[in-house]
Amino acid sequence: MATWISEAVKHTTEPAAVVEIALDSGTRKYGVDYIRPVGSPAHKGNILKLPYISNSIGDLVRTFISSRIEIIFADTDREFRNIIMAEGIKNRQVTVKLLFIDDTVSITALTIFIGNIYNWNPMRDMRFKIECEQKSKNLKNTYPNKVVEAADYANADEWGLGQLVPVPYGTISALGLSDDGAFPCILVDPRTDNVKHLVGLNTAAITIDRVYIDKALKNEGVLPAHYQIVTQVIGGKTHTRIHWNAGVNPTFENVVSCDITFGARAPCEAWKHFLIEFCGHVAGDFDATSYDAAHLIEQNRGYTFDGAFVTEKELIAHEDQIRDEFELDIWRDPKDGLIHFKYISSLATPTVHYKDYVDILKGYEPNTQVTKIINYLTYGYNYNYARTYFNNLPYREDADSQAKYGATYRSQQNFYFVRSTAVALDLAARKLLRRKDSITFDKFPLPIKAFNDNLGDFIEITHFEGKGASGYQKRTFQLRTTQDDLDNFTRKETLEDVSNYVGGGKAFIMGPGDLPLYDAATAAQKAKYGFLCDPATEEYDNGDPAKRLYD
Amino acid sequence: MANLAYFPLTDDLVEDATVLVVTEDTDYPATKLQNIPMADTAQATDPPAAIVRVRIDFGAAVGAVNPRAWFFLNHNIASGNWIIHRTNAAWVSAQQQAVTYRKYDTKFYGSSWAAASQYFEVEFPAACVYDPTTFWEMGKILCGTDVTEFSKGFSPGVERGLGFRNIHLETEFGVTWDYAKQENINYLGVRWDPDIKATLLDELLAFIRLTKGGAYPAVIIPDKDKTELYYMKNQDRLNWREEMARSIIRNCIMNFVEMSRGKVTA
Repeated sequence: MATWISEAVKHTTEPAAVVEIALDSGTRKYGVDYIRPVGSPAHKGNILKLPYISNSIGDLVRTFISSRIEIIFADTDREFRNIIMAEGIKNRQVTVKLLFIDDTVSITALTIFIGNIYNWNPMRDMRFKIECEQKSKNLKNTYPNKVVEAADYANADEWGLGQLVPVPYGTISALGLSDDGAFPCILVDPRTDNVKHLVGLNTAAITIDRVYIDKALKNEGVLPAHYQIVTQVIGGKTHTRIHWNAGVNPTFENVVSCDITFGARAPCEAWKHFLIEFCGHVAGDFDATSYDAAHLIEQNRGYTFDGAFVTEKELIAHEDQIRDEFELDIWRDPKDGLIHFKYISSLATPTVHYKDYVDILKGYEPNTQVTKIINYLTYGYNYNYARTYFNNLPYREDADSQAKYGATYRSQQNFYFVRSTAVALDLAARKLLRRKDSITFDKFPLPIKAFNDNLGDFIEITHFEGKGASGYQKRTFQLRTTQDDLDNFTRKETLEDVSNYVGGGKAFIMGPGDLPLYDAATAAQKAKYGFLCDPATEEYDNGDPAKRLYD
Repeated sequence: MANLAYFPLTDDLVEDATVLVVTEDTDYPATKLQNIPMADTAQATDPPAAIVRVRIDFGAAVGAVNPRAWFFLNHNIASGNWIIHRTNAAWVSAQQQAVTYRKYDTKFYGSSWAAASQYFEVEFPAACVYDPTTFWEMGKILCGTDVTEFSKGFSPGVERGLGFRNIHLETEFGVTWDYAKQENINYLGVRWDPDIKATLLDELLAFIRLTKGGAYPAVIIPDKDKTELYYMKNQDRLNWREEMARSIIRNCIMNFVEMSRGKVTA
């Protein structure tokens, strides 16, 4: 049975882009021509201008950018001018699909955009414009946003009122690192013999492991102990507080800090929890397949998410921070509007191979960013939220890169959500692996079959103008940005060269007897075979992180 | 050989009539036969080898009419003639005239009816074959008392064109990716000589006004005695100049482009 892609790969075809709007009065369908499917009403042929659709998971900086789109209709019959008077169209769902005209076989349409109408405008010359944004929660909303309020804390004074209540995850501890705790507390009741400090809030009680006043460890319990832990549900979330026993009266001049634990989650897991519990998302907003795959990788790598949201800022800003710290791609896919997750893994399998002599259109744009090399990375982890400093600031460097380029290029990475030495090391090594050579973001214009690609996909490229003696020969890239032209049915894809750490298939093969040591192995050998490494550092001699069976 | 003729939407009696298709596909209702785009079609749900009927009631306000000109646009009949019946209110046939099949667009321009009537039925017999689908489909039906013929022929002849709108893409190695957007677009170009009958200017002005300078299409009939017809829009404005104290139509060229037929997905 024919499918969308089986038609799209043909060199001569007859595609059409159609738009569906889900109004309260029913779903209406539009196209640039009257498209008449068997068994369902025609698409009205009054679209004057189809949108350019652009989506990106970032280039050098991992992020998520989705363009708003506009569609312009001929409204000479006043259909839209009547609709806006009879019913509201703002926030109604708009779906853009690609289909093929085929007289004998039913083709499944490919959805390339799902969004909502956020603005509309009757235009002169009897046209009508709708502007749509992707179906996702507003990434510019700010979170977390619960502050200490007098309604909840009647005795709070100016040292507590208005302060943001932190939302912690994992274990945040300075045990063995400093003389006090890693996490601050908020004075919410200064009354003598009734002093209370607020630690934070979450969906359940936060475990307070240790409490300090001015670096002096205090004891939990009734008198003669110093404090008791009390929880209270406010606004559906559990606030965890330290209630000081009579006679223990820290004031605003004392530094009260603690070590805490709230569950144990990996990064995707923790971010999903935060989005659902604090940012208005639901489980159905997430793509289960990509989440499960990413979560498996982070579990296998031993990643844990240990940190707190202590600043109210835009959702996209929080998410960019997590992307950056964990080398994790998170995006709302334009095809389904769901939240997807992806780690780059050496086990990744390319989904398609594009070749210059048959697929890639004229207009290839090479883009190698030579000035972005990093071969000396200082990285901070074990952040002390109470005293605002990183307890650990080691570095990693790539001597091969320094020798190759004749210079040391430094940068610093701060891990606010990482407290494990192994995890910090792993992440720093992956960042160096990405940046120790010039990073490449080539742009490839492609025909209609490329609409089938998804952000984050790994794609092989063969192109004579690529780097190397023979150009790119089935080189592995990752799809970072798509720009769709629905007038010409072309897609321009911005791809990152990830061949230095992706490829070789899933098999973990102990190499043949004549296999060189890792440092001397070719890229293809490194990708395909297993090598022995230093068990203490879990690194090869050149500093690359050891390959693992799962990654 | 007759001159160029046309049938404007303003002469169409079907537009305001009550039209019924037996048996109508509600996704593609009979009212589609009355709107302007012929790409927006009506369809029937009858199985192959069934009779499809289109019943037209011109209404009491219009009353009994005698339409000798009928146009069936953007149909999918592959073979088989059909019949127009003059009927009574109960759709009982009192007279019938045959419509000779022509692919895509067909006209009937025959004798006047023996009597006027408010009711007409178009019968598509079981012998009609439909392609590419197996059900009856039609974009538009028009009818009127007559067509309008220009009083002067054109010189040197009707220029014709057949066009396709395609997208053509290439790789660096010349491998092409082509997408068909619109196919089989008919074009007509007609030219009038100078120094012609004075009434032609009035006729051309009337045509331009009836079609609102190309905003509305019209049925264009190169020769009303032949089967050829097209549903087209005029692409030009009319130009003329006063010369020697009389209006001269000089180098008047009119170009027409066919309306879209839409696309069927199965």
